[in-house]
Amino acid sequence: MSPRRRYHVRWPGLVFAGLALLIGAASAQRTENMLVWVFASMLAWIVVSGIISGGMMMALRVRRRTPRVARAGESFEIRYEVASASRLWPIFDVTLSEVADLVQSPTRLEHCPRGGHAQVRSTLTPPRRGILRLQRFRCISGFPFGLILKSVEWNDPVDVLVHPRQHVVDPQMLRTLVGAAPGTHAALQRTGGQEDFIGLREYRSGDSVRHVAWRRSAARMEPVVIERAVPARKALVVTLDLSRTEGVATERAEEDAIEWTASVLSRAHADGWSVQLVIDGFAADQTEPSVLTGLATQLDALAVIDLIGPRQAPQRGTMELAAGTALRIVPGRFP
Amino acid sequence: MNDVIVCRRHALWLSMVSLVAFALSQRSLALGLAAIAVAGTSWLATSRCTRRMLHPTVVLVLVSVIAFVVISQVWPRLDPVRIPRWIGLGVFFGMLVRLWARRTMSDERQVVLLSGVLLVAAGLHSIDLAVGLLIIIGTALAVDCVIRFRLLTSDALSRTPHVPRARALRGKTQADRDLRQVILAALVLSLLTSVAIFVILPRNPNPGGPLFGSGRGTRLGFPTDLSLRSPQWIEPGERELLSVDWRGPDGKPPAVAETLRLRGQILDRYDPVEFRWFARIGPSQRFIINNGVDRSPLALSTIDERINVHTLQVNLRGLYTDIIFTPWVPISIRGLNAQVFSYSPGTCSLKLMDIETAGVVRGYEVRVQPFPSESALTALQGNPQRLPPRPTFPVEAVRATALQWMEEGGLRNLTTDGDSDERWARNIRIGRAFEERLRSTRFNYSLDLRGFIQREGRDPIDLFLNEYRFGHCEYFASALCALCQSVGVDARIVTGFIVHDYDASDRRYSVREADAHAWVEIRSGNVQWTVLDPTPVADDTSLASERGVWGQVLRFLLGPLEDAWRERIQRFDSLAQEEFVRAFNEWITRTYRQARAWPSAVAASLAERTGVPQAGVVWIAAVSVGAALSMSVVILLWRRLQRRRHLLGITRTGRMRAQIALRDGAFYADALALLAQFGCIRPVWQSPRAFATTMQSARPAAAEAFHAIIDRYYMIRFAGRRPDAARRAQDAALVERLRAALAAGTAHSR
Repeated sequence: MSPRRRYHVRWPGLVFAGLALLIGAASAQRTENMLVWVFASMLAWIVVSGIISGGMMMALRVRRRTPRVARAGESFEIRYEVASASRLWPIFDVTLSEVADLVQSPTRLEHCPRGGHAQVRSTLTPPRRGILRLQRFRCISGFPFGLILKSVEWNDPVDVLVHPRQHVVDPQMLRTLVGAAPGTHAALQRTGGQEDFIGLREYRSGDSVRHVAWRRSAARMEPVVIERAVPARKALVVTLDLSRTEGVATERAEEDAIEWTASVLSRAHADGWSVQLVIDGFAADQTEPSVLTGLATQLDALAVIDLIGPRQAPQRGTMELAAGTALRIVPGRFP
Repeated sequence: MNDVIVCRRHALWLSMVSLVAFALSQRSLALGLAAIAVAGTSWLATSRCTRRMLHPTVVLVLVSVIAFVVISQVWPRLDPVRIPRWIGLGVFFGMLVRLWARRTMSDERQVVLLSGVLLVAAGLHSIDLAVGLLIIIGTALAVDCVIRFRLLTSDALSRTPHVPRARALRGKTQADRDLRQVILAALVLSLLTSVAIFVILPRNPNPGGPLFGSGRGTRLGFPTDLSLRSPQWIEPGERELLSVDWRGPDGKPPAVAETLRLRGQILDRYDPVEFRWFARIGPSQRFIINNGVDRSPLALSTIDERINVHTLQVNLRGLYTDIIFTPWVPISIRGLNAQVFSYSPGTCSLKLMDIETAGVVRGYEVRVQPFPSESALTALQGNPQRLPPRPTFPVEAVRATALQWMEEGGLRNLTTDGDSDERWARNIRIGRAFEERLRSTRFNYSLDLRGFIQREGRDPIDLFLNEYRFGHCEYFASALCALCQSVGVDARIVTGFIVHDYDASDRRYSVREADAHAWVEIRSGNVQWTVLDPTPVADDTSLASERGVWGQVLRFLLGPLEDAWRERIQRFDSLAQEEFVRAFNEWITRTYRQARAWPSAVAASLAERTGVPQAGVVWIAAVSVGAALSMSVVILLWRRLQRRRHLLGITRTGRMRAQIALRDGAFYADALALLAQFGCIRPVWQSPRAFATTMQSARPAAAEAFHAIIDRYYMIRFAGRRPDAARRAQDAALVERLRAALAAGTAHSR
């Protein structure tokens, strides 16, 4: 990935160059050597500016680090890890930005020592869900005199999966939605809260120290942990119907439906529900739509829905694991 | 320490330097001191309290007034000489106003910009040492200010509320140290580049041509006339203009230094309208072409040079003029380079003919006879066939004064009739009488003529004689010459130098600005002229004491500086460039030859000192080279060891422990270097495990391999488990596994 280096001439540099030429012409006409010295100094400034900024920018090494996922309408952080490969020139006053039409906060690196590292953060706000591809990012600086700007661009394509925008879903509202949907039943309630002993197993990285069975570990001369049963959670199946057989068939309505689906999923997972997601009415080559579990997977799936794709009649309809465990979201009909 | 205060303080220093530079260029030290006082007061009063700053409306009014004054002075006469001066003055006072109203970054930038304009304006008006040094210092300060303001402005512009500000540059942090070093590097590079460009820029061999500053106008000239509309205060300058090497008839320097009187311009006509003495164009001039090697005689016939002939070599230093300065009377001349001279027999004066095209004249050598015979003078001046007419003077009031003085001196009965001898005798008697009267206590010598107010309708010589009775040598000489001419005495004014300063160690006279003088010559024969000096303190060293002690003390300090400034900067022109190139080529050639001869010389020296034959010298050289190589290897290994210590963070451990960790943990350092090679540089603030975790998504295989390396390293470093040979081999294999994983694929960093 070889960077692209460019020069940008701005009006201060043009004015300075014009003044230098003017003083040069004046010193050529008059006989004062001091005026020649002033002209020489101005030319020297231009030369030195090029040397220092060139040395600084040539030594600039930048890595961009982005999160895997983001959320539409919310800022996510981009980190630029800057390193100076020069033992001679430190780096000052570098502005970093993405070469893209995005809403990004200005990022400026004040200083990076010679041979050292620095990190700057910037925030980017994706406007909509989907795959946000970041291609090129640029570092630009006018240090030391601001006469000429030098920029270095790196081409480092990276994809950020932007999850749908989420709205606030009240827990009561969720229960109401689940209860109000046709064919739904009250969520399965389980009583009791004791955790059942299952057995002992070997220690794995990440296990809490509190779960270590010390006496057994001492006896076996290796760490073992107690494995207990976790209480079963309430189950819910959320079906997003994008078949356009009913409801409003506009893209805006479908986007709203996707956002509400994401909101409901997040709320349900936060409340301890065991949630499954079915995206119905899509993909002509798919005989049965997948049942998705896990919030991250579900949000990823919602993020990559392409509304331009062909539709088909719903295959699964409303799935119920048990009475009162299904929620069907239809665009334009979701309250 | 706040960044903004540091920047503002540096801008203040820059403004002070520029203000003083401009004030000195206008020859007004008082103005410069006042400006410093105003600037310093503005800082003390307003740096921490903006309420004491001038209101923007007041600033606007003051600036408008200054602009109006400048435009009103410039507009009526668009004189290219006045315009830069008045613009400079406008910027000067505008800067003082702005220093009292610096609220925003824009105001600070204005201060820096105005300082730059003032420095340029100062350079346009003056090339003195002090101004030049201030311009150089100001340029350096400007570099510092521009860099600091650039950082401050960018930071202010980039800051938004929701983005945390980067670490500030304050105090003695690494960033502060780096910034100072960058500024220093920029200053040094700027200075060196400026010098290089200044030296390389082509100069026009013809002064005043289209190429860059020949330096001619920067050197002091010598007036070709004498104007009595003189400055009110003459500051006797200590700048050296000429140096004179005097050799007596025996070719040796004088044993006892005598006062040296150098004749320059001869003036014998007075303009009563302009109050100016000027030279009458002589009836005949001879052109003398000199090849710079042989002496060219001035006389038409041969003069016996065996009798009392002295030789002077005059070197021009800070003077640029076509007038040749010689004592009375020159009999031959040789230029230090080929030149053409014009010789005026009537006044025995010489001038340079081709100064306009031949560039710089370095000096000349003249042979003089202080007491020439009549035949020599006749050969030099020609034999006048008839007596010259008696001169007259156009100002009647002066004649009245002269007649009155003659009456009082009992000289009224001296008539103008008679033969030539009587005429010459009369000239001498009247001239000496007038000289004596002028040198009496009735007249005072002074350089301060602020009280000498010229009156409409009154001639300055009349005012000097009858009203003020004080003045400097020009007034005394003018008065004597005017008095003499008004009563028919053949008199003329001579302007030149009277020199007392003889350096016994260098055996030369130093002619300085303050040595400029004017006196009178009275015709005392057909071809003889007698010197009369009516200035009261002209012919002894008390004139030198009039300059003041401090000037002479500083002269020894400033003299070499001024010489260097004058020779290297002011007078740097096309000839100086040629000399520089020639000297540089000679230096290069000489250095190359010395470098080539050096090994042989060293070998011969070694052979001589040690008694070792040439072959032994070769053996010594081989051993030396081997020792140097060994030392290099040791240094490289030591540096590698230090880098590894820094990389592994081993700073304060026991010696043995450090060695164990370094040797046994070398595989970990190799792993870090390998990761850096593939672009994965571990930040110093991040732990190894955290760094490995961050690599997981982008390079899972490499992260896994690095995890294993970390585990092994921790066991060695902190658990004290020293590896055996087999274990070290396994550790090395882990590094190779990491290398393979890195080389295998590249995933985008996440």
